Amino acid sequence: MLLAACSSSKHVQTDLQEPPKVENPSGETAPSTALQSPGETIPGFTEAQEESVADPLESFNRAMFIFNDKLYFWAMKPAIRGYNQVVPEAARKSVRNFFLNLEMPVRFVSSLLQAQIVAMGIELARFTINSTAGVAGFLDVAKSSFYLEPQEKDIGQTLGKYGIGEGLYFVWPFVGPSTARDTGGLFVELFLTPWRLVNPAGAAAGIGMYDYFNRASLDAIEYEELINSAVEPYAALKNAYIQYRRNVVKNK
Amino acid sequence: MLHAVRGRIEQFILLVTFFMICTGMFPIMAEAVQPGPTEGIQALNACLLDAMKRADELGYAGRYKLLEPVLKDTFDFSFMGAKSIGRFWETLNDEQQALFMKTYTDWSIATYAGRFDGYSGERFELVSESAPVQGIVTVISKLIQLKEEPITFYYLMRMVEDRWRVVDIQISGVSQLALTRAQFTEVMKSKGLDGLITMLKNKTAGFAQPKK
Repeated sequence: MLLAACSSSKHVQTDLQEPPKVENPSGETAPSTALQSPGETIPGFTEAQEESVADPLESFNRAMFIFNDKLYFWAMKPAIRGYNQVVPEAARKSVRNFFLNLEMPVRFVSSLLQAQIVAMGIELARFTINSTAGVAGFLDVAKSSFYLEPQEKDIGQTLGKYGIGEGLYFVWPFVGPSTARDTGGLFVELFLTPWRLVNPAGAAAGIGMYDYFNRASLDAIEYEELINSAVEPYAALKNAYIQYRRNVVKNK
Repeated sequence: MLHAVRGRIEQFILLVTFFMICTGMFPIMAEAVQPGPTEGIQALNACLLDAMKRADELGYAGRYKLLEPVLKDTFDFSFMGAKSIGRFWETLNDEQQALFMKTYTDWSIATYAGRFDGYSGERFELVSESAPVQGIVTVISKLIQLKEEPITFYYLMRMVEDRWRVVDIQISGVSQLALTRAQFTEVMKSKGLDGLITMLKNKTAGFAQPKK
C-alpha cells in the first residue's frame, strides 16, 4: 500500500516495540500482539505507532501532498490512460524489469552493509541471469525460472538497521512521502544507480521521469485505492508510509 | 424382557450423553459447534468471492446485504470502532458512542461492498493459523490474482462472545486498525465527532455511487 536528521527521531525509536512473532507452519512470520493495556489487548500496533513521527513541517507537507495528488489525478492519470492504450502491460512490465535490474547496486550494497550474504548472492545471481538470459534485464528470468526474488533492500532501510532514527516527516514534490533518514538514503542511491549519472543531467532526469511514469502506470492503482477509501488522505498516506517503512527496517 | 433391558440401556446412554454435553464433559461435541479462526476466515473468503463473482447481478446494495451478516460475525466491530478513535472514545457519552459505532460499522461494510465489485479470476488461499499468543491467533490468507502479485492478509483474531473474531488486518506490515486510527484521531482533533460522522457518512454514500 504505499510509501525521514536524526536528532529529533530519538523519541520515535524508543516508542518502537518489536512485536512478538509467530512462526507458522508455512514458515511465514506473522505479526502478533504488540501492546497489552490493562483489560484490553490491542493487536498489531503500538500506541506510539499512530502518531510518533515528527511532522513540524505539516503545512508544507500538506501543500506538497495536495500538489502531488493533483499532479497525479489531473495530469498523470489521463496520460497513463493514453500510455496504457498504446503500450501493452507486458511491455510496461519489461521496462520496469529493465530499470529494476539497473538498480541492483542499491540492493547489493544495502545487503552488504547489512551483512546479508544470502541476499548479496541472490542479487548478484539475479543481475547475471537477467542481464544475459533476460535480454539486458527486460525479462525477469531469475524470478520466473529460478524463483530468485529481488531483495527488498535500500539505503534508508540500512540506516534504520544501524539504529538511525527516522527524523522529520517530509512530503517531497514528485517523490511523495519520506523521512529525513529515507531522504538521505535516496540521495546516496543516486550515486548507486548508473543511469542517474548519465550526462547531461537533463538526459538522466528524462530517463528518471520515464521510469517514474512507467512504474506509475503499473502501480498507481494502490495509491488511488488508498486515497479513495481514506477518510483523511494526508494522515492515511503518512501513517501507511511510516508503518510500511518501519516494517521494512524491522524485517530481515 | 430383552427389549425392555435394551430400552433402559439406550435411555441411560442418552441421559449420560445429554448430561456430558450439558456439563461440558463432552468437549469434542461441544467444540464442534463453534468454528475456529481458520473456519471464520474461510467463510469470509467464500462470501467475498461470491460477492465478487456476482458483483454486477447483486449491485452495491445486494453486495452490502450479502456481506453484512458475515462481516458482523467475523469482525469485532465494537472493539475496532472504539480503538479507532483512541482516547476520544472515553470522552463520548452513551448516545454518541452508539451513533459512532453504527456509522463506523456501516462505513466498514460499505468499504467491502464498494471495493469487492468485480471478478477477474481471483481466488483465496488459506496459508496457516498460528498458535495463540496473548489470546490472539493470526490467520494468514492470500488473494491470488491472475495478473498481479498475490496479496497476503494477516488476520489477527481473538475470542469474543464464544466466537473467533478479527480485531485487525495487516497487509505488507501495515495495520489497518492503526491506519484507521491515525485518520480518525486526526479528524476528531480538527473537526470533532460531528465532523467525523459526516465524513464517514459521505464516504459510505460514495461507495454506493457507480464508479466513474
